[in-house]
Amino acid sequence: MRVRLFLFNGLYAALILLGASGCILDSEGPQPDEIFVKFYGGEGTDELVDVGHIASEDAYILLGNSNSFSPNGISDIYLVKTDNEGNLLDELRFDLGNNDSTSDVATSLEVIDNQFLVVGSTETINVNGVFENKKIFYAVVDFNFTVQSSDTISIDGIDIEGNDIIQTSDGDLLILATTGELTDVERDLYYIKFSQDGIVDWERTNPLPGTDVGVSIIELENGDFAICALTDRTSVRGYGGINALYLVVNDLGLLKNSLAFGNSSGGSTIIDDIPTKMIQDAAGATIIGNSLIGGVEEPFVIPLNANGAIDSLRPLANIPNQSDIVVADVVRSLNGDYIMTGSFNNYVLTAEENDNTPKGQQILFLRTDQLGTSNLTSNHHGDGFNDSGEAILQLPDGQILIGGTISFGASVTKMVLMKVNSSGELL
Amino acid sequence: MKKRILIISSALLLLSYNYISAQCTQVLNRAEDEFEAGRILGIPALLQECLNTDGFSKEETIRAHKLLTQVYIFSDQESKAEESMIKLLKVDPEHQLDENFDPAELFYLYEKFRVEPIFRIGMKLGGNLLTPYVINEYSAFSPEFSNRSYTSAAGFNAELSVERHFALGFEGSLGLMFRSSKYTVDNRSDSTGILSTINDAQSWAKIPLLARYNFNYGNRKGPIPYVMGGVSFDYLLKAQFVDSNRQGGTQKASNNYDLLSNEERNRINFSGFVGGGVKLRTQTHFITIEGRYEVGLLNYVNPDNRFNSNETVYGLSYVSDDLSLGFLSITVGYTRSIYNPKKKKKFINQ
Repeated sequence: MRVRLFLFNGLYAALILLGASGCILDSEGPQPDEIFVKFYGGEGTDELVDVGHIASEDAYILLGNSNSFSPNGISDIYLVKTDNEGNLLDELRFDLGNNDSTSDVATSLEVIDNQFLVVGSTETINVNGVFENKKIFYAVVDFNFTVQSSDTISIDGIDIEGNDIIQTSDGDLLILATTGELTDVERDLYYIKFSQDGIVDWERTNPLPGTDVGVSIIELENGDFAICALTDRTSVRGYGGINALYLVVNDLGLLKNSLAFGNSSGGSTIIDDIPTKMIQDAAGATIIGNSLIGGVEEPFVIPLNANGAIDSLRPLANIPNQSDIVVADVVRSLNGDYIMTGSFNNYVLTAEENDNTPKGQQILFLRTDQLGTSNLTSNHHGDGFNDSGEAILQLPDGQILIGGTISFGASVTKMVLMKVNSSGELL
Repeated sequence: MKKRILIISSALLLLSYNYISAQCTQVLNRAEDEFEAGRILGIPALLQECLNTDGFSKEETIRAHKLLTQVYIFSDQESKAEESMIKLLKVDPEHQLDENFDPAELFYLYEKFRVEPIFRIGMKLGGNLLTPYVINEYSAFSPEFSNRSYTSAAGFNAELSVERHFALGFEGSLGLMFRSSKYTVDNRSDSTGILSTINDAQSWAKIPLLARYNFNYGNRKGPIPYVMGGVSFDYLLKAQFVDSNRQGGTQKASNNYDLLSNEERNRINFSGFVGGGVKLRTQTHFITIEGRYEVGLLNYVNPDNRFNSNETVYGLSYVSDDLSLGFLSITVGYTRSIYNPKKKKKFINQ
């Protein structure tokens, strides 16, 4: 009897000690480095433009535009470095004119060895409060957020905006830009190749007629450069309105080939096909963009093979329950799927979500097979205001990093970084 | 007229009862005198009518049964003596014999009977203070720019329990508790000017199993202090964000947001607890005053779904930390002893 009592009380004593010590038995589940949502910025408007991954540090760089830190609400270029859990490590702002005398807008980020490149444009506000002509702004920054070099490129009397920047195989920098006279709506492509010391190798203006606006530039395996732009011209595959333009120039920037792509489903209706991104991938390259059809946007992909031979524009229709979708960035999975982010312009609530709350514009996660017509999953994030996905990365572990802009209403927006699973879920 | 008859009838009834009661008191006194004089054979017949008609007061009934028990002992009517002892213990479950007056034979018989309660039923009501403990931090903002503070909030709990004394002052208890609790968390991101105020309110059904040690358990007059400890199975009935909001941008309010339907909280948990209190005897029952400290052994938050809700992550800009919930509770209770006096097993065939 005494032994039984001893055991009984001993058991209780152990349980009591366990409880008293606050010993926690369970903290299982996704740890902080697995998935996350993180917001960045100040108290004003902070909009994400692009995201890069520093593989050697497993860290992320966010490029955005912000007026949060400007006393007069003028845009600055805003860079954030985070660890692999999205925790902020460093910040950097470019207020080029100091004291808010310039409006500075970034457009693209490119991570290279031990450094990253930023390109955008800057406009000076003169003493009368009027904007002067735009200049290209670019910067080379190391991973410690120390600016290695930065400069502006301008042409008198001409607006010139940086669209994309890459490091070429010979170590130079190549910027794709768009120029236009201040008094003229027509715009032309401009590309300039120069060393990191600032010595210009060559600069070219696209000689083709009409208006072209730069989007992306990549270097092909043969040393040529492929340029993606939007154009008001049509060619073999263009069908009126604005079309996606694919250009190939040689290593001296001289035009070798150009072709415009359009959505052929409009018949007599003019469809604007606006490219948003071109990426290099295992198959060659891919252009994505959006067709504006009767006020509703429909995404498309244009697959380009390794030889530069060109496929046709593939509309990405048949997205379950949703229409009016915009894609902004794309990555290819190992099996060739397209994984895209962008936004649902008019997100349609599912049966479970039908809580009569307006959802506004939502961040899009879209995955399609290589044909772009099936194997489709989609997801959304955001709540009530206009949110958008702007950049997407696929990480070595298969997880996806989405960068975007979340609105909190009343002109308050934050840059957002989401690490999601391969289905776009925060699970 | 009818009213007058009713009053007269009642008065007559009362007079009659008082008369009978006074008569029975005299009968009991006479019976005790007879017993003192050694004339015991006529005592059962003498007392029987008053016992049958409930003519004795409670104290007189106890005296009568005790007297009858002794009469049967000394007249060698063992089974009748045991019968009377059971009747005595039913009227006075923890009847105490007096060494100075009661005969050894009565002690000997008394020892053969179970006089302890077979179990006790307890009821407790009280308040609690919930303190959350952070296991792992999560936030929609970088920690350097996120200032999160938890505030304890008061709730209440009610418990029903079944208790049993084992030996040497050790008791065990199994209960069923309802608990309402709440905590508040303010999440401020100074850099972005976003401030979220979250009120997380829960309702729990709990099944606590505890061991209790009573100091001086046999004390029949003074307070009985005790210490205890145990574990509890906890089932989350309801979990909601109530009156929660986010400031910064357009203010966002969230009322009665259901955390369970979105599977953002774990329904099942276990707790360990320690505590102490004091019992104040009221005859054979107790009034208890108790303090208890309890801590959840499992994560209150479902880690798989912490980012699952647009309303919380984006609307309120709030991501739940992994939490263990601690509760400090003070209760006042009443414990009723339940008796079933009978001969102890080992004496049944004797």
